[in-house]
Amino acid sequence: MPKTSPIIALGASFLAIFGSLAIFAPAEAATILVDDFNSYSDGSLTGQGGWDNALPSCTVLSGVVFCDGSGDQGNYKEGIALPSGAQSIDFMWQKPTNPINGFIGTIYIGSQDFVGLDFYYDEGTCAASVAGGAKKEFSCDEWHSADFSWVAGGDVNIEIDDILIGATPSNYYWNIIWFAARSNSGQGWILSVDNIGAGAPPPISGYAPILTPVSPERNTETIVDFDAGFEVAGTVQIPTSNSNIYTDLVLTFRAPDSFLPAETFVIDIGELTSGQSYNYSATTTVPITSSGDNFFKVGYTLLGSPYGGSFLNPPINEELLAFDNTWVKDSADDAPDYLITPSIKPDQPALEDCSAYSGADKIFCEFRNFVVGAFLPSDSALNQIGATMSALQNKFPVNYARAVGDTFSDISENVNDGATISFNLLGASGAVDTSIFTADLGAGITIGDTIKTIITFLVLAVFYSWAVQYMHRILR
Amino acid sequence: MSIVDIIIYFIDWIFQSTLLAVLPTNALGLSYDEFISYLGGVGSAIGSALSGLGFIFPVELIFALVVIAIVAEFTLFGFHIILFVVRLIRG
Repeated sequence: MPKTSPIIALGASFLAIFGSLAIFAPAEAATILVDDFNSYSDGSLTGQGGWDNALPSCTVLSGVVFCDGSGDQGNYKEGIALPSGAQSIDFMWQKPTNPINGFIGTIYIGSQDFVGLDFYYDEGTCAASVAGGAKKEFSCDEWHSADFSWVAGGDVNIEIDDILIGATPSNYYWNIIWFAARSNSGQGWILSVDNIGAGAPPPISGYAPILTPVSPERNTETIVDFDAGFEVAGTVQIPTSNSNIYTDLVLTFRAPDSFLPAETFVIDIGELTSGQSYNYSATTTVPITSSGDNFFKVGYTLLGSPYGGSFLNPPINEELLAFDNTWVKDSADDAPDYLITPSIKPDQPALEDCSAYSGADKIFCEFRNFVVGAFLPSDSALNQIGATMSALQNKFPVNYARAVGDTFSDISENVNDGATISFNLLGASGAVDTSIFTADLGAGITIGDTIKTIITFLVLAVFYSWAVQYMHRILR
Repeated sequence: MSIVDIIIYFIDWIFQSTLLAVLPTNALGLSYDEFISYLGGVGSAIGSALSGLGFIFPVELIFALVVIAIVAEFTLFGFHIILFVVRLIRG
C-alpha cells in the first residue's frame, strides 16, 4: 500500500472538512446561459450563438431581438442544465395599433417541461401569469426584467421587476430558454428581448422567514411624516424548509412604554410559502401622540398557517420578525439613548492595499491579506446569524421571558413617588394628607426621610438575612 | 467566503434546523399577545399600587430586591427540578 505524505494527508483533511462544511453555505446563483446579442449580425436569430427555432425565427437588429406576433415567431437555446439556479431576461411588449384582449406570447425556461410567463393583453393593460395563476399587470411599451429563480425540490419563482408574479413546482433541472410572440388575431404585438443574464439568487435553505426591510431601514432611526404617510418597503423570503403558508405581513408601531401598538398595519402578501419571496411596498400613517413622544419601535409579524386558503386556517402560525433597534420618529428629537444599541457587527480592520508593493513584498502583502481575509466575517454571514438570533428571541419561551423582564423594568420606572393616595369613604372621596411627613424639621430633614431611612435599613437587613439563607440552601 | 463565515453559517444552520423549526411562537393555551396583555395589566396595577408610597417607603429599592429574590428562588427551583429529573433517570 503506497504511503501518503503527511502534508498531502493534512491538505486532504482540510479539503474534506471544508468540503463538508461548504454544504451549509448559501448556494451561489447559477445561470442557464448569458447572452446580450451584441455580437450578432442583423437578421434571423436562428443559427447565431446556438439559437434554434421551432416557430419562424425572431430577428436581430442592433443587438436586440424582435419577435413579431403578426404570425408566430419564437426561438430557443439550450444552456447549462441546472437543478437550482437563477436567470433574468429583459423584455418589452410593444402594442399594435388596434390591440384586442387575448394571449400574446411567452417567456419560458424548459427541459422535460416548460414553465414561465404567459403574457396577455387584458382590458387595456399588459398582464402576465404563471401556470394559469392570477394575472398581474405591467406596463406595455416599456422594458422590464423577468427573473426566474428555482431550487431543487422547491419552486420556480418568477418575478417581473422584483414583483412576484407566481410560482410553480420545480420538478426538473432547467436548461432551455424559450421566448415567443404569438399571433393574437394577427395584430402584430412585438416582443423585444435583450440582456439574458444572471438573475436573483435562488431560494435559501432553512426555516426562519427572512425579512429584509428597505424602508424603514433595519436597526436605525428613520425620520418620517406620520400624518402625510410614509413608505414601508422590503422583501420577505420563506426558506425551503418552511412549508407554512403566510398570507399577511403585520407591521406594528409601538411606543417605548406601551404594550399595545399605536398603529397596526397589515400588508396582504398573497400566499407565500417554501422557497418564495415577496417584495412589499405600501404607505401607512401613524397617529401623533399627545405625550409628544413621537417615536415608535417597528415590529413585523408574519401570519400564516400550515393549510393556507383565503383565510387563516387554524393552527395559526405567527412568526415575529422584530428588529429591536428599528424606530420611526416624526420629530427631530432623538430617541432615548437606552433605546438604541450598537449593531452586532464589530469594527473590522480593512485589508491592506497591496498595489503600492511589487515583487516579493506584494506576494507577502497578498498572503497577509489572504490569511486575514480568511478570518473576517462577511456582512451577509453576520446579517444571517443576526436575523436567526432575532428570530430565536421571538420564540417560546424566550419571548415570554423577555416580556416578563421588560415588564419588571417598566414597573420600577413607572412607580410615581409624587402621587397622592386617594380614597372613597361613605360616598365622599379624599386624599391622604402626607404633608406632615414632608414638612422640613430644619436642616432639610423631614419625618418622612427619617422613617424612610429606618425602613431602608430594615429592608436591607431582611434581604441580607434572606441572602444568607439562600446561600446556605445552595451550598448544602 | 472566510473560515469565520463557514463557522457562522454552520451555527446558523444548526439553529435554523433545530430550535427555530421546532419552537413555537405561542405557548399552548396562552398566546404571546394574550400574555403581554395580561402582563401589561399586572404591571399597571403594581405600578399604581406602589405609587404614592414613596414619602416613607423606598419603593424602588423594595421592588428591586423582591424581583431579585423571585428570580433567584425560581432559578434555584429550576435547578432542583433538573437535579430531580436527572436522579429519577439514573434511578
